[in-house]
Amino acid sequence: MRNEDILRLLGREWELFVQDVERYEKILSDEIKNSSFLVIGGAGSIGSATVKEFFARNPRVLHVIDIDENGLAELVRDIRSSLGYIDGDFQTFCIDFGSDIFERFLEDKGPYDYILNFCALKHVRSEKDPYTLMRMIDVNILNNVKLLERLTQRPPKKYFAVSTDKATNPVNMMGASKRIMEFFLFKYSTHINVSTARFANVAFSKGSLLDSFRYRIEKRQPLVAPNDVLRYFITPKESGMLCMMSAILGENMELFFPKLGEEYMRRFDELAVKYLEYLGYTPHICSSEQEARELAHVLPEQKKWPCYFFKSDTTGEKEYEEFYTPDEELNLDKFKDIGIVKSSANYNEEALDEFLHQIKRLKAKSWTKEEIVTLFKKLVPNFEHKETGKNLDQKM
Amino acid sequence: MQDNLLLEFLGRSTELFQEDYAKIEDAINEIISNSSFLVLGGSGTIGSEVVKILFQKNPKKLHIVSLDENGTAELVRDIRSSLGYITGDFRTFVFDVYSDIFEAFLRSEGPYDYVLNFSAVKHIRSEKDPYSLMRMVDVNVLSTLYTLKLCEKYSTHYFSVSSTKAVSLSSLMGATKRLMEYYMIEYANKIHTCAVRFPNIAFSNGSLLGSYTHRLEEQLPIVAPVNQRYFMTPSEAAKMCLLTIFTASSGEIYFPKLKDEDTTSFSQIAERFLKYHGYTPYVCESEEQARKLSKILPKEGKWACYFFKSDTTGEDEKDLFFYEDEDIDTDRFKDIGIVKYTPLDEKTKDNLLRFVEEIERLKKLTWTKQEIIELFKRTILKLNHKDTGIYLEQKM
Repeated sequence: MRNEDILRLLGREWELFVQDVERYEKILSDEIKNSSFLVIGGAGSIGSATVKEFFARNPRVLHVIDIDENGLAELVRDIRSSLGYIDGDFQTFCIDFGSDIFERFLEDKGPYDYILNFCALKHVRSEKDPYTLMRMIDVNILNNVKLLERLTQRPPKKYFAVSTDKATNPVNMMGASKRIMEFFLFKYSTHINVSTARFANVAFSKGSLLDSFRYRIEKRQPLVAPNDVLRYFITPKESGMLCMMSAILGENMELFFPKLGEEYMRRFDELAVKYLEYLGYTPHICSSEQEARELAHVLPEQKKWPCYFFKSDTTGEKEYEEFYTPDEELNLDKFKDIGIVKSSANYNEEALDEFLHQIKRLKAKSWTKEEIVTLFKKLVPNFEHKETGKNLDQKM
Repeated sequence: MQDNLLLEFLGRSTELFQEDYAKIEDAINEIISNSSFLVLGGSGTIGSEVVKILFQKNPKKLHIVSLDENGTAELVRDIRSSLGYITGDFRTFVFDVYSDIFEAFLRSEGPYDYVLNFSAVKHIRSEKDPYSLMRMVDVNVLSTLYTLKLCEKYSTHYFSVSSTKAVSLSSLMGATKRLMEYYMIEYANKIHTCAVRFPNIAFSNGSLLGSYTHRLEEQLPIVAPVNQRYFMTPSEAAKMCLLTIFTASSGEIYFPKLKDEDTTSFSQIAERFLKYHGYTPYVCESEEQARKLSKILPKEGKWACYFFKSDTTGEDEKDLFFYEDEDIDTDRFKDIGIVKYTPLDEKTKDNLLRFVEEIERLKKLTWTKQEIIELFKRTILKLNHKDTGIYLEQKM
């Protein structure tokens, strides 16, 4: 979907971060033009939006890796047909950054001035079973640790990794895994400059509920959405600007977040209705999943679309979003639309080592979800995992 | 996209395999409802089509494993919004099959009656550099071998997807698929194994045609090679998979019987696609011109296109479905030909053993693309790979 259409659906006439980027454009352009970048997980929505910001400023080297082969192909097609070509060395590689192949790659192609990591298992639904949960730990935590450890030998100017608002007082394993990742980032900040960003929902990002509406329409299926969940939304393009700002301008241990007021909050059902109107359909609200499925065969011809809106009750849903906790030190003056958390290194190094040790021990035999939850609770003391026993996979 | 629309874009009036499928449908319904399935790479285009058919027939157990978290979420949403729920055990998992997690998973969730493997690194563009190429070997060959070994203990049937490129062997992707076929044949006397060889699947995830929808949304030019190709629809591909899985004898490879008049070109499909969406194709002389005109032309009901003759490395002159020395049966089905089982000779078996040893050795040290090509050549005698020095990444 085009950027202007997304903004319109979000009911906004302005774009965040534009003034901040403009103010610092000279520094950004000069730095990017003269630097080499490795973007890990660069085929996703936020990663590719950031890649496009860099590409447009003609970097010396821009290498993108991702395991999503289709996503990489799409990124290249998108860049070639919109931005074209640059003098710098732009290449994509389809490799897993947790693998031996990546180690070889880094040895051959590195060092890089900037390394940005966008890889994540981000769906709360992925934490339902012990195997997917273990992969979440691999991707969100262990791969970062492995790479940071290697980089201590020859540190880049900056290591940037994406966090999430779900890491602030986490209520699900995904958020907690990102909180633990933040701890490790800060641990390595004694050797490597690190920065990160906490996000709001990125509207229509790949794999998100809003993005899935497109497939529902294509497949003539009903739109479903919770009617009691309020979220902050930013656009993919804005997410790319925020990451670029944090990666280039963020100081060691700084965490960037969007300064958002209530005017940025939307409900999913409200966006579903707007989306349908944007496509020329009138929403028809159904009272059950079953009714919605049945009407999907008939309503579209009458330019109506069946919707099912429900009260959210699945495990791991937060009631509200927050970007920082009361005990974190803030700087809200440097930028217009970006707030900064000056992180205090409140991690316990011994506990972090113990965590790595225990995960390794579990992986060597077998493990349960409960064992992992227990390990998480030790590291994230205020972590309250709400298990409602309901999971998104059991829903439409 | 709907099946009849896809066929229209392909310039065909009838769907393949209808007659063949009708003959076996009752029998397979019965088998499916009494069986357990593990589908690897089940969130891709062909995999998810097969999953949806299996789901409708209420199997005892249907587990999906994929690396693609977003794709898996979309598969669940798709199924819940169209088909609803079944009494059988339907679950999805996100992790890498080529990892320790897989074995731990099989220990507690297995055994299965059928393991269906749809995972692949399939883009020719992924073979341009030694790192992505090594990942292609990991996913297409080593992971297959690892799965086959585990199947001896945890499954009775194994099915996998090959490609016409395994016959033409003009790409390294094709070479990895040929190696995969060899391992499938080698295991044919240990468990029940079979495979299919597919041509292009029209509008599949990550394909050039699949990207046209994005181009249209973003008002970007449509590019296409003019070379003639065979195409099948995702729904045809799924039917053919089922025909293979439930009728093949161990060690057999199925392929579609397509005739010269069934071919069409990407550029012809692009033209039909644009006309359907209400635009007249405007053929540009260069990529540059197409990019420039792409924002202006839509207002006049025209769309900027750039058509070219493919000159990138690894593109076939013509799709081939079988080797001349293969034992072929074309009588069993109307639209399907079969490569009958011939046990591997001792020399090939030796070569395969050596291949794995050599790859493991290279991975421990360092490797070049040339070394991997040499290794392919020693294992598969007829590699036709031509490096034209031009890769898709350098193109729009």
